[in-house]
Amino acid sequence: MRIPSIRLYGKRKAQILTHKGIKSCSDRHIEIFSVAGVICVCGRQLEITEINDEYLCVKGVIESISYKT
Amino acid sequence: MYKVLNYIQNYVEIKITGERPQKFINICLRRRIAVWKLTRVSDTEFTMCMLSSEYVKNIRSAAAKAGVKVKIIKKEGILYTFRKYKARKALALLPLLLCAVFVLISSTLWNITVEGADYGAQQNTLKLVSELGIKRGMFMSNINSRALAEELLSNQNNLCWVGVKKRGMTLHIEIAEGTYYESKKADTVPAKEPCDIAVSKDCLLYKVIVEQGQQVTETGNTALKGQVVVAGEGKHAKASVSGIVWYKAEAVIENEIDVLTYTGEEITEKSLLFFGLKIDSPRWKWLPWNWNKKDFESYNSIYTEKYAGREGEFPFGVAKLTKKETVWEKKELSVEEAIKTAGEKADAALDAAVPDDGRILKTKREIITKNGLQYYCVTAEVLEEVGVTVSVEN
Repeated sequence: MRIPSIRLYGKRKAQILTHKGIKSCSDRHIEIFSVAGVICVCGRQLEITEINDEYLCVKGVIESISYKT
Repeated sequence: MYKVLNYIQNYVEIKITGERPQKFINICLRRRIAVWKLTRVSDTEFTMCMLSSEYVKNIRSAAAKAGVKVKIIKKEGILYTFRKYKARKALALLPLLLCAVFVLISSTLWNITVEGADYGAQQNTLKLVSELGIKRGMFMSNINSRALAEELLSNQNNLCWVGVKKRGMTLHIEIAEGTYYESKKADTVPAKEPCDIAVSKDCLLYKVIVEQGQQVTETGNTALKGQVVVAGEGKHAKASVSGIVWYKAEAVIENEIDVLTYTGEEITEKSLLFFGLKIDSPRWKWLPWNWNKKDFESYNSIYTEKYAGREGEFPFGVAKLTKKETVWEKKELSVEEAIKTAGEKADAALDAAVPDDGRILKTKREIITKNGLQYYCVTAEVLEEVGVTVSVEN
C-alpha cells in the first residue's frame, strides 16, 4: 500500500513519504498528491528542499497540514 | 556528505519557466530523477538542482511535455571545476608535481640504523654499508635486503647474524656478535703426498709429539731453520713441534725527541648534507678578515655528521670538519724519561715480532752501548709452534 506518511519536526520541517507529485506550490501553501487525497501544507516561507519519487521535504514556518478530498 | 557526493557526480541548477512548472516536477519524479533545492521564484518560475547526467538524458523531453522552458543557471561539480582550470595548465601541473615529489621522496632512503653488538661493530657495519654503495638518497627498491645481509655477514668475521629490514624510508640493520674461530692454515703439502716436518725458525726443540713418521732430531737440541725434525719415511708426516725461539728488539735512547703538539689554531668548515650529498659551504676568501687565513700545512681533523631529528631520521643535516693545526717540536727528556720512551719503543717492536700464538717464557732487559750510542734492548724467549711440512726431495 502506498499510504502517505507525514513526519513533522516542530514547526520548521515536514517530511512526506510516498507522495504522488506536486499539485501546486507557493511560499504560503504547498499541495501534494497522494493516495489518500491532496495533502495541503500551509504556512509562511515554505520551500521544498528535497524531492524524489517517494520522498518530499518541506521547510519553512508550518502552520497547518490538512487533507483535501 | 550529500553535498560532497553531488559535487563528485556533478550537478546543475536550472530555472524552469512556464505556466505549469509543477507538471515538469511531477514528470521528473515519475522518471525517478532526484531533485533538490526546489525554490519557487514566482507562480510561473522555479529553480531546482539535479544531476548533470539526468539533465542530459531526460530534461529536453520532459520540458517539451510540460510545456516549460529550462535554463541552466549554474554548473557545479568536479568535472566543471576541471574544465574551468583547463586553460591554467600550471595550476594543474602543480599537484602533479607535488605528487611526483612525494612519491620520489617516499621511495628514497632517509636513514640507516644499526642495532645490536657493540659500538665498534656498529660503526664497522655502517662503514661497510657505505662501501657497498648504500647511501642516503638512493632508491629503496635498489636495495636487496637479503643480499646485503649476506654481504655484511661474510665480510665481518666477528658477527654471527645480520638482519636487514626496510621500514618505511629507513634501512634497519640488526647485528649479533659471535665467536670467531680462525680457520686452520692448510698444509703446504697435500695430505696424500709424502712429506717431512721441518722447523720454520732457528729454535731449541722443546716438545715433539709425533702422530705419523719418525723423529730424527732429539728434543732439547737446537734446530736450524729448515732442519727436518720428523721424517715421513715415504708417508705424510704428522707431528706437533714446539720450539723456543729468541726474539730481540732494541731502541736508541735519545735525550731529545720530536713531539707533535697543537698550536691552538683551528678552523671549522661546515657543509650541508642532503640525501647523502655533501654540499660544501663556500669559503669567503674575498672577505677582508679572511685575506690572511691560509690552510694549515699540518693538522689533525675531526669530522662529524649530524642529521636532523632526534635519531637523525631526516635526510638532511650539517657536517662539521674541525682542523687543529699541529707542529713537530723538539723536546728535551730527562734520563729516566729517555729510558722509559726507548723501552716503550722496544716493547712495541718486540710485540710486533712475536707471533700471536707464541707464549713468552722469559724477558730480559738491558741497556747496551754500540757505536757510541746507548740502546735499550729487550730479549724474549718464546714458546711457539715451529713445525712446517716440507715435501720430500727425490
